[in-house]
Amino acid sequence: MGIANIPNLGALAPVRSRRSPARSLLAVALALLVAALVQTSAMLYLPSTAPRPDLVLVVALAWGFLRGSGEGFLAAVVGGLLLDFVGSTPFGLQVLALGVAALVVGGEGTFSASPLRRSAGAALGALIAHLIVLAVLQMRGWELLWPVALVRGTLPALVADAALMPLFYALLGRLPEPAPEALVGGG
Amino acid sequence: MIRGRAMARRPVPLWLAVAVLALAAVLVLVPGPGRQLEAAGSRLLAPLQLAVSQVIGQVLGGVELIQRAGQLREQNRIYREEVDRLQAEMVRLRELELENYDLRNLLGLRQQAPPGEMIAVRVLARDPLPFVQAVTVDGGADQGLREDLPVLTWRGLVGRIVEVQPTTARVLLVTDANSSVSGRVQNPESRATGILRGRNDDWLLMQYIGQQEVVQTGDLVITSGLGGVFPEGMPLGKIVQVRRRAQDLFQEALVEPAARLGHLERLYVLTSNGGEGR
Repeated sequence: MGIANIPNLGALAPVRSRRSPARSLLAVALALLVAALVQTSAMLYLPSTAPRPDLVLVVALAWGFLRGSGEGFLAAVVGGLLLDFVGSTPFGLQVLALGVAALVVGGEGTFSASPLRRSAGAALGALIAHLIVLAVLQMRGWELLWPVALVRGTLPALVADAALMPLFYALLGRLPEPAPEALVGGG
Repeated sequence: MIRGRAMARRPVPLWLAVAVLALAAVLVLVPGPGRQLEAAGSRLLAPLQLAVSQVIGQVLGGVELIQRAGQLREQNRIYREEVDRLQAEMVRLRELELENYDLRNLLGLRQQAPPGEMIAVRVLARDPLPFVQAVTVDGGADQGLREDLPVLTWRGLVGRIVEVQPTTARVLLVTDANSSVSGRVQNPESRATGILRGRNDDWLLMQYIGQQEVVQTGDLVITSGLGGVFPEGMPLGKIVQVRRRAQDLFQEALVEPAARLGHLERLYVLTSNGGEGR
């Protein structure tokens, strides 16, 4: 008779961490694709002065807050790949930038505990990603006007990302979670 | 050892994360290996981008039609029996009207444009980064496009092609900080030349204008043909501010671009740039 079957002690049985079900992974992949399309094609119709949020990054970070740094990092890499396919910057740069941002900010840690912290995490993640992109482009010889880029590009994006995080977290949080599986014996 | 039934989230193994990021860094620093993958991904995503941009364009066109309903009702009072048919035709005719208007202006542009074939392309997407002024168009190497070809609308110069995939291409807009175009002021009192640089905002900065040159607000600026990339005579913009100080070697001017870069839909690529080449 295993620990899981002992009355009143079953709730203390050790559990194994589970990957999200396939449906959830497919849903977040679709969310990343939609975010990438909206971030590029739909943004065509916004005025040039409108903030341009990092939708793909926000989706990846939200997923990381919900399901842990492993799946959050994977989402960031996949999302970065989609943006690299459609962007003008060197291929691999968005994977690098979003991957580092997800690694630093994502997962169940400092930034996942409350809505305010998650929004702060989104802003910090976006700042990290933008700074990495700017630094690499500078290294590659691109002409960059840092004050204009930061004030007109990065700052509005940080605010927009922080504002969108609660919405994306709530939407992705509706996806089914993996059921815990009790282990027999010790961990 | 007994542990709680709290859900344990799977952390990312550090070695895996470092390996993935190192691979990405290698792809950034050594461009060759990633090109085929980028081409394949671009080919897959282009139809989706076209669909999204078309749907949103139609929705915005419908909103505009609704706003004009008052004027349309006044017209429909006279043609009452055709109201239902015309409302159904409106959506289709709106698209035809835009295309007709664009092509008529293009015909006017061809009469004054330098010799060369023009290939019409449609804008699919804008670069996802806010500090890169570039768009993706639905033409590529398969349609005869190549790097450094000028891109324009009937209003004026938009930019040049900087990257070509089989079915798509990236156009660097003149407002990007990496863009520089040799320009000339179209003023009978002065044929001042200078370099127009992008500022990653809505304006161009014309630099290195000689101190003795006469440059005024309202003057039109066209391409000078120097440098070999852009042919001579393409509209660049209009001067909105002149900055001149006696102690400086050169004047500067702020230029409003001729092309409406915030509302790009149809563009035309000049396949023979007429220049000396680079």
